[in-house]
Amino acid sequence: MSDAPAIELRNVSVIYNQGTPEEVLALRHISLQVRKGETVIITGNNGSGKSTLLRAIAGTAPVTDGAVLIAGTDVTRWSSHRRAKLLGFIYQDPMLGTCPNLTVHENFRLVSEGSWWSLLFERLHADEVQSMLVKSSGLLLDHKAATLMSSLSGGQRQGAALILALSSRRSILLMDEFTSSLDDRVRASYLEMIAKQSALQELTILGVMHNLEETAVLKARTVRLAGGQQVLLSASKVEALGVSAGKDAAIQNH
Amino acid sequence: MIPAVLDSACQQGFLYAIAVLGVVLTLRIMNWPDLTVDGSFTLGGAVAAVMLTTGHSVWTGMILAALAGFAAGTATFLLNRRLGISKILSGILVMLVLYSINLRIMGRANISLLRIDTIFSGFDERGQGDLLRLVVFFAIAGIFFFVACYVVVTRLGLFLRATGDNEFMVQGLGVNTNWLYLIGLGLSNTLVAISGALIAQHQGFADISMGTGLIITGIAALIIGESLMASIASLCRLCRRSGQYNECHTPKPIRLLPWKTIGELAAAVIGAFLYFLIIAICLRLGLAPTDLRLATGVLVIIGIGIQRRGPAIETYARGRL
Amino acid sequence: MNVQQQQIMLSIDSPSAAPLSILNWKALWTTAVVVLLTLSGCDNRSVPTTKQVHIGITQIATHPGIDAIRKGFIDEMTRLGYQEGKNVTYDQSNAQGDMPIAQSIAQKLAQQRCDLIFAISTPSAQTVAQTIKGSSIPLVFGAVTDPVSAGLVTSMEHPGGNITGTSDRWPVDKQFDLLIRLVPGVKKVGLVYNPGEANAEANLKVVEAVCLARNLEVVKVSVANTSEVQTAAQSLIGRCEAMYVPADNTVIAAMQAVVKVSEQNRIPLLPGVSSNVEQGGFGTLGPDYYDVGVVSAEIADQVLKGKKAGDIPVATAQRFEYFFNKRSAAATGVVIPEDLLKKAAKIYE
Repeated sequence: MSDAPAIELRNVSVIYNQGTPEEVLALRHISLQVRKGETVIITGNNGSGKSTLLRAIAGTAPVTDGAVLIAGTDVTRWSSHRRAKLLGFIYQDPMLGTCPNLTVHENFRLVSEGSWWSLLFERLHADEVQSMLVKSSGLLLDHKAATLMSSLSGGQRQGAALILALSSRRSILLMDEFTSSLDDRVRASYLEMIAKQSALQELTILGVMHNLEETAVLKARTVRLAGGQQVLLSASKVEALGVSAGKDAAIQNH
Repeated sequence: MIPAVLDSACQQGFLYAIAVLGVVLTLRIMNWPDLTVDGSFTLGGAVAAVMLTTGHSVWTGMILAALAGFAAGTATFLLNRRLGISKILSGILVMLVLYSINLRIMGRANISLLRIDTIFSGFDERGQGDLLRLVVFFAIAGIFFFVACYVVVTRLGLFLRATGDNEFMVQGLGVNTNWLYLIGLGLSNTLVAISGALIAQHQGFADISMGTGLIITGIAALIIGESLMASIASLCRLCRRSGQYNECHTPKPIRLLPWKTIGELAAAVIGAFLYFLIIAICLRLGLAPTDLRLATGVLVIIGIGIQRRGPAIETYARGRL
Repeated sequence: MNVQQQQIMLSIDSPSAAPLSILNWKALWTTAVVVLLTLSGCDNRSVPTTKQVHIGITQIATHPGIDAIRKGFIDEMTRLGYQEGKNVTYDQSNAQGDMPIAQSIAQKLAQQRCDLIFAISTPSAQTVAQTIKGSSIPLVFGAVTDPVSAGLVTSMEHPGGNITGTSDRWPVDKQFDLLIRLVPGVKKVGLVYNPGEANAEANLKVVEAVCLARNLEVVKVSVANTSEVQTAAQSLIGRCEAMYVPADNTVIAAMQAVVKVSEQNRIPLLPGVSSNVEQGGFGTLGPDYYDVGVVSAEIADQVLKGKKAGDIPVATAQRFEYFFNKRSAAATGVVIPEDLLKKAAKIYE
């Protein structure tokens, strides 16, 4: 089992609103393998099915065909909260990843371990990973520990969501365009944090991004989607995007 | 001898406060408008009355009333989660069904407890205006308040609040929110049923209509309490200079407690007390009960007004000081 | 100038005289609340000059029958020598159907140390009975159908304790005798009722016993609220030869619907409560609620004159009279004999 790919999609198709006028064929017979510890970035134009691919793995998209496997186990029939024990998810919208009406400290306690009866205010940080991350992010979240999450700016919230995901002891991380609403400097620092943690914790990361230039820091291989299918990246395009050819995805068009 | 108005308010107010705590748990903490409470209040009273009149001990009656309340909450939960009925409609359906069930439990529409030994029988000979009764009722409400506060401060309480805030995120953490909703609804209706059982024993009878309008009473009491807490918080904030909480200051552990939620729970208890205090005052001033509803309604509107316009008033006051 | 000088002197002498800031507003507000509480703690009665009897009256809701009882009570008390304003004061309260308010009213009356409390209807009586425990205030109830099972008295003959009153048992047996006489050949009687009403339950048991003794079959349809009454009444068409309206507040509130069904389908209607004959039904026998109030006043008078309430047996209304509605009787094909018409207390056209 240990050499099974961390994430595997076998011939997966996703159709939204099947049988109604709103029917949309979002993914067509996609097969993908992500090895343990690998970082894969998915790109494509709008509507090419990138987010749907992540959702199919997370369990929130209606998979009509094929199988989704996580660490060798077939999870196609699993509910989303069951899969969530294995996956971490970072959303594009910072509102989704955190609880707005709880304080920053309480949000962090949500991901940390503890029995149901442990008291909230025992310590400021429940574990070292979190405290180290908070310090290194430069976000000054410690001082805001008792303030509501909704009082943080969008960038700070996204940073907090990132720390929550990175400290939740999941070995697989799914990131859905989480940098699109951030400014350049913040984007760079967050990506650096992810890269560092990924190396430290041996994380498997599957992310969706528009802009490929920054992904160099993640040392990722890229997969391009168009119309719900994988497409080949021509050599000239590869150079233009600054991604080295050896890391392109294998082309599997069914 | 305590003032008559206070006595009235304490007797009913502190016992209804337990029900209002239940309403706060679902309505505010878990963001679930639960209309089952009209039915589970009567259910608690009915079960307790039947147990007492068939010779069981007071504690058997109370425990069974609590379990019955939990069952009612479970029913509402199942209707919503398993059958996909909306939250409000599930509550209404269970409330309707409970009407018939309560009639069946009691066997008739009214069970008298006037000649039965209840949990409050010891107070009978002391009459009205009794200080000991006031203290005991206050203690009862206080115990429930502290237990509720304790639950809120634990990790379980954190997850209950998080579920009400962003269920999506809690599911993303791998926690099954269904269990959390079940606990929340069950505990809330347990509290309401316990309150019903206590009220039935206090007023001397259980009646099929004793729960009618409880959700309205609960919400009115809650809003009155919340507006009082909002005013107090406003006053406290006015007394602090702005910028007192600057950036380079890690908060002490005591500040990490969920004060807002504890304030909600306190608002429940205080609000219930104030609601019945206002009724007692209005009755003594000679207001007819129909005008009483008007008075309560006006107070609720003022209460909401204070909460909504509070920040504006505060800014104005701060500018003038 | 003088005033200003004085103000300056004040501000120098008393450093605590701060300008009218928000703290002073808080103090003012607190004082106002305290004053309000104290004032409302006082009784709002005038100080009696002669020995004034203070009677508290509480009723559960506004209802023609309940109001008639109250009127009968006060009228009879006046006839017995209790002149309002001179030697008696009444504190009348109406709970408007709200249980917690009924409880608050009971507490208020108990705290005011009335000489007697007159409670009309079962819930009002029960709340008062609970709050007067431990005090010596006597309770006289009116219009409680079953005082024993309501826990108010231990037995009808010897109530015990501090509580007695009048029970409004309906002469159901005489009513059904009237029905058999005026509607020959009646075998099945249909009725609509609300199982959620305590008073109605007791009434219903008596109805069923009476019908059993007269070889009549009772066809029952239950409702939970007034909007269901019409459908329930319509479901009885063809299943009975006559209809009965029990002493049930829910059905009585929707009496018109039942009357319409009875008149449109020529089914004779026997109302169980005499005040409803005005709306329809060929007629009935009943005590006037006013009479219940009168009897209650007689009991209250005995209690006020020193007799222990627990020693006075619970009274049941004794005077029964005929009430007829000619229009409704004609519409349903019922002929009212002349001798009964002559005896009738009230004939509605």
